Amino acid sequence: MLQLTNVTKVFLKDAPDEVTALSDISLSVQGGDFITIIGSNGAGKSTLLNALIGFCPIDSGTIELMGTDITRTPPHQRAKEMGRIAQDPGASVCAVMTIEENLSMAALRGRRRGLRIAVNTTNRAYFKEVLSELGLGLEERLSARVGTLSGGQRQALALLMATLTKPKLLLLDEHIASLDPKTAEQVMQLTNDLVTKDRLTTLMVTHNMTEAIRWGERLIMMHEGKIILDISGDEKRSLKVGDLTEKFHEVCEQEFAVDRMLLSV
Amino acid sequence: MDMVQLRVVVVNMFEQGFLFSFLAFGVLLTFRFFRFPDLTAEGSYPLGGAVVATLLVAGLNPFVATGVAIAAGVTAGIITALIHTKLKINPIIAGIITMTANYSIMLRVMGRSNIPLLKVDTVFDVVLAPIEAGRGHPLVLLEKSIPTIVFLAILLGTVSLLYWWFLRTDLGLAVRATGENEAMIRSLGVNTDNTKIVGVSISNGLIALSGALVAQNHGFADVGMGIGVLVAGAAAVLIGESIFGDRTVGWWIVASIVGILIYRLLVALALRVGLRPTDLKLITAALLLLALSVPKWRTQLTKGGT
Repeated sequence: MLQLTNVTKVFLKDAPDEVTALSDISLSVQGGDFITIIGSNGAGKSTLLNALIGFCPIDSGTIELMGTDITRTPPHQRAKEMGRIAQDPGASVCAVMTIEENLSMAALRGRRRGLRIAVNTTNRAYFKEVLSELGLGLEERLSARVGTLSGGQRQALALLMATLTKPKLLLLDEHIASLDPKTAEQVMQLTNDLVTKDRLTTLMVTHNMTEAIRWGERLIMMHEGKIILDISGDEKRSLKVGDLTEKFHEVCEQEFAVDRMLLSV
Repeated sequence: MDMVQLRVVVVNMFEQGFLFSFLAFGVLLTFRFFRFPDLTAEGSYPLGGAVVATLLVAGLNPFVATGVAIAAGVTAGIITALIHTKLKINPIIAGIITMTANYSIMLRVMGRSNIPLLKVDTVFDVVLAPIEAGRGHPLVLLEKSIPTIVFLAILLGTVSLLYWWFLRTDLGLAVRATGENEAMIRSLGVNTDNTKIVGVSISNGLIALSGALVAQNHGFADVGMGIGVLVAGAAAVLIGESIFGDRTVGWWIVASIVGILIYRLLVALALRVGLRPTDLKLITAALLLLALSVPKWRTQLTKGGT
């Protein structure tokens, strides 16, 4: 469904502090896969998602979605098939607009926007219905500004906005990392519910090894712009944090102390 | 100040305030929703006046002439937005470039730096003709300003409704979101180059309408009439915001009108206490400075800080 072939991205090319964020990455993703991506800081996880969404044009290689080459497609055209949530709870919603206005913008993902009043009785009833499924009571606050919501509520809304039109690909960039543990758990459960309900193909970046093991059916570990580990099936199901650190150590064959500090359990 | 003087001040506030409300609407879109001061305003405002004056002298229908003036402002806005989006130039610089080029274009259009409109029919002459014809009749005792204000109030009400409607459409939401969170609305599939072009062109169309109406109301168009209009519009928007707060778009529209009315009142009062018309830009600048700094003092006071 999604095919990356020899994708390379170098930041500050030819400068003394040149960084290879993605180094000749090839990755094949099946429809309906829920993949967690783990790696230490600077491993290239976020760059990978940004390359997929198109915010970060790649230097070489190709990206294909459903058999179509989208390597040079601008982000706003890719957006029709891709939902994305960033780490900062304010980044994936519009804080000065109301909940219903945000949802009406998301409902038109990738479609032409004309001169029809955005929020009407029909779509308001629909928004109420989908919001009530979140179980956060947001359906009673349709005309509240998103800026008045808590971080967890904003991420839950962002999740709903990203999945509302059932895009082919859902990209989650550490979307629970800045939430408190209890809220993070709630939002993650919600994520899993939405993803499994519609069998959305999902790529979830995380810093947290426990989360990476707990969720999804396939786990990818990145290091210095490369995929160093790709586990799925029974092997993924029986995976423990200890195995992961061991495998990481094995593959890298280098001093692990620094990376252990950067990865949290 | 006695009652007669007060009445003059109030009548003047509404007449001039309503004329400048369209300017405040335009500045609201760029300054508040897009969060950048669009200097194209200082070009599109006098351009509206220049186009309408030239066309009126050439004998065109005043309504058509006003429409062409709006189109000229829209074009100026499109040029600024294209410079910004396609050439990736900072929007403030893009506005300065358009504003500067516009000065020469206006002089080309007008052929000179000032066109008086005393001998031609303006939109106000046409609309108020029945009332003027009835002058002398016992029922027509009103001075000219009152029917002018009524006409402007109807026009402003119509434009306000259209503006309010637009800002709540699917396209309007995308335009507003472009200013607030560009990455977010792009990842929902919106080409933000286009929404910027739409927003900046509507803004400058409204500002040109203001310039065209002011020229017809004051009886002349002048190349220098745009100096300070962005500052005046921004002051109005900020005064309105300090009264109504940051709420829904409907309130922003109300806030812009109330803001420009208060701005005009403060200017009129400043002139009353002995300042000269030539001090106007100084007063405008001081008002913007106040509108910017008063909310900050207020927060410091309520926080009990220094």
